[in-house]
Amino acid sequence: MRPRAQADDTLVIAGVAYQSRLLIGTGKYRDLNETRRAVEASGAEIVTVAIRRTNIGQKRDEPNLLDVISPDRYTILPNTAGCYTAKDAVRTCRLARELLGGHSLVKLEVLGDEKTLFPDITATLEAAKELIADNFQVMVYTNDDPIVAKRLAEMGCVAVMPLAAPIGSGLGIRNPYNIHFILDEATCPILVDAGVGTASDAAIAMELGCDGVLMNTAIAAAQDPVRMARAMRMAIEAGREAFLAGRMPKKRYASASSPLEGIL
Amino acid sequence: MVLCEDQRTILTQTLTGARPLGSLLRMNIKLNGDPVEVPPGHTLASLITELAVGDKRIAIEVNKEIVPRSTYGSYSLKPGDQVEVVTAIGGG
Repeated sequence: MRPRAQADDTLVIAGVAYQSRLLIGTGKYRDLNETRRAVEASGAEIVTVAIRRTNIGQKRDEPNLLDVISPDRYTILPNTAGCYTAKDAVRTCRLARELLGGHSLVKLEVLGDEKTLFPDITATLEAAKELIADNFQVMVYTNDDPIVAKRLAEMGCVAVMPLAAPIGSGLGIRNPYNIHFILDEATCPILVDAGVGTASDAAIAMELGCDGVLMNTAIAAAQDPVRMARAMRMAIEAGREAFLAGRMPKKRYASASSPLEGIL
Repeated sequence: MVLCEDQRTILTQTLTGARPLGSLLRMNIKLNGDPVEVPPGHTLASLITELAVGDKRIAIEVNKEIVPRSTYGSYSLKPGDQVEVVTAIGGG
């Protein structure tokens, strides 16, 4: 059991409290066994999945992702990855809700461009409105625009998730100042979604004051994904603890750590 | 024998030579984008049993309308139906 300095420091999304502030995706792993081991090592309680046509030709006894990542144990967060219109995103969410037996927490992403995978903000706002009206609990992928983030929160999204850098790029927190602006105005949990490349990036996101981080490629594309999952778990915890502890002020000149009195 | 409307249409087409006789027992639907032949009146429950996805976690849309799981057994497919069967896979 991992030690926890702040046992009561939970992440609350749509009224549900989570111990872990690390949310992870299940894409790009070698196989389902590696997916399972990485998810376990990460300590994540919310796990994203994609919704796709069933592979009609597949083998009868081939395990399904949800057999490995059980909805009884994890909060499954279906995404709308690959959707370029509000209509497709809403359709995907409705299928996901049926598939998961009425579970209404979704990750909305409406993409605007294949090269950058940046969100189409107008389509995102349109889809969010329709989904919220249809009683979905929407965690929304957006860019790091503080005005848009505020608007999405005001609409009733249960979490706003700005990108730190393009999806799958591993470039880290490219604009911490914008993330700060978003956090300053936050009225719902703010999670960095996309762009994290290694543990220090995750720690920086948490030190900024983010409520959590959602990542996939940083773990799945590591040389040893299970080990990186563990590293991310520790980085998220370290970053959160550092944020809560309140860092020392930065100074331009040195300040001796040992007392000056009594020097020989 | 009582025929449903679709079967009657097919029978009429067969008798007038527009369709071969064998088509009386089959109809075309689209399954995940691909054409598939099934018997007239085939239910969604039978379809997913044949696909061996019945025990998996799936959702079904017919002509872009979600069909609730509880009605698979009573949902009869019609010629030209566009069926989408989806599941959860790895993704971020």
